[in-house]
Amino acid sequence: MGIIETSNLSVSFGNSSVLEGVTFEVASGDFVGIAGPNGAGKSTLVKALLGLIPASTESIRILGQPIESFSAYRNIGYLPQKQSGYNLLLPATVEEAVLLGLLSDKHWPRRVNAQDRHAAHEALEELGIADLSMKSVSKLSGGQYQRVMLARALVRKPQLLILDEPTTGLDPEARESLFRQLRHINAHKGITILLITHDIEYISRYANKLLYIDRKILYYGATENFPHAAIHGALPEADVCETCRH
Amino acid sequence: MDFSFAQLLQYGFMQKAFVAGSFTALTCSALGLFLVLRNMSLIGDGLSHVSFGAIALGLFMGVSPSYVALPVVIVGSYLILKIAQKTGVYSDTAIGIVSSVAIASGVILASLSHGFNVDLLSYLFGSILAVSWSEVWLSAILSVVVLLLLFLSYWDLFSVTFDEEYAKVSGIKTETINTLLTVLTAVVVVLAVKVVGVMLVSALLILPAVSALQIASGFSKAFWYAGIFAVVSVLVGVTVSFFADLPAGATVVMINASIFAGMIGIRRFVSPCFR
Repeated sequence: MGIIETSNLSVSFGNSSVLEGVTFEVASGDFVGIAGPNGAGKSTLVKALLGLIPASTESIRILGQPIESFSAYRNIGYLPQKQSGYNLLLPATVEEAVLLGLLSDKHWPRRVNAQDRHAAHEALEELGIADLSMKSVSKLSGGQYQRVMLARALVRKPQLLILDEPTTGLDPEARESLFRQLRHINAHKGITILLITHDIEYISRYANKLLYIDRKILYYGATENFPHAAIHGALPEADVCETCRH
Repeated sequence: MDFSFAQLLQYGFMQKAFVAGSFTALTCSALGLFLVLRNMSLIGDGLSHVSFGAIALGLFMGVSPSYVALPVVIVGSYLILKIAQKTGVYSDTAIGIVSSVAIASGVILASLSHGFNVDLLSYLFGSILAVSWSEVWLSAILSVVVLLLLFLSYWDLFSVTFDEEYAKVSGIKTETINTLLTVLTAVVVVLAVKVVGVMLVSALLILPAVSALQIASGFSKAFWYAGIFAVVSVLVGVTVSFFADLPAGATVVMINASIFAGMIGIRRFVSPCFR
């Protein structure tokens, strides 16, 4: 059973088609990089997979459950695209932000306890940022902020980690470090990773699969086999569709 | 004037003003924090205008305005949400539509009645010194209900405030939370109209919250600061208004504004100690 299975997924906004007939499967333990030009539908694909936007599809199954009845939120760690307009007035501490990652385990009225705080501290410690615990989120650097959001995604010990351009705005050193950390999480914890990025070079080095899309899938397969000519849309779709399923 | 604060407390109207004002201010401050952080500050202003129409309707029907205002303002808040959702207009536009229709209705009702314009004016600028014990009880009970719901939904509201998309992926019913926030705002606006009046309600929602946000180093701390600022502003504002013979609602707002100015100063000059 795949961790993610989509069949013929399409998304349109009004008359404009953003994704067409996307069919692919992600196996447990995969580290899949999603790449493509601006406006290719990368974020739209991830949002459709998470049920955040409506999609017309034959089926989307996440962790074995159809998306329409999906309830296993605690098994998905999500790191959304960095909020460009993060509300600097919001005085949340790093610990409070990470605790938000545990809410999916709870029912209303949701409360956090000492065990949750301990889990948040552990998640921060694993990423080497436990010292930031009481710092205001609005005071963090770009790299620190992304690490805190990664801690928030990991604190619930997910099976699947979905990251939407986590390296945007990071300097090369912070970028390299974040990718290394993700590789470690994937290899040592067995967490399946789906990551959107423009950095094909990094995907080639750290991910085992690449999903290259431009409204439809142009390539899906092992990173080492990716024909770099496809970046400019020169790859005929027929050549690669067989890679969409295991 | 040779009065002590203790002597002041012996007056029944002052006791009622302090109790009703404190409950209302505390509730406004807690709710205001979410409204300010979610860029929804204007909804308080819009709903206060709806309360103007509702109060006019109550006076026109010869019913206690507070009892009419509560359901009407809740309906108004629901309409704002629905107009924004169904027509695709921005929420500030929806607020503008509903609030202007409500004011227009109030003005028409006032002109048709030929008799309650003076009463209506007292609601425009508040009359905290004239609250009855039944109004004190109403404000206390509604405040406790609102604060309890905020307490129980604290982490849901915080999550939606921090990042709505992430909240959805955490299984939080974000639409329900948004509706809850809007309906609670409607309740609080009706309470606050009696304290500071239709014209100044949004000040009670916004000022304690933004003052707290200047110095708070955590979301939960911001609640405590906002609550303290709000209650202090009512106690000091009502007292000052008594001794200086000033309108109570306006004085409360000015005390709030002074606290805000003070917190800006603290943030700028003493900030590292707080954050």
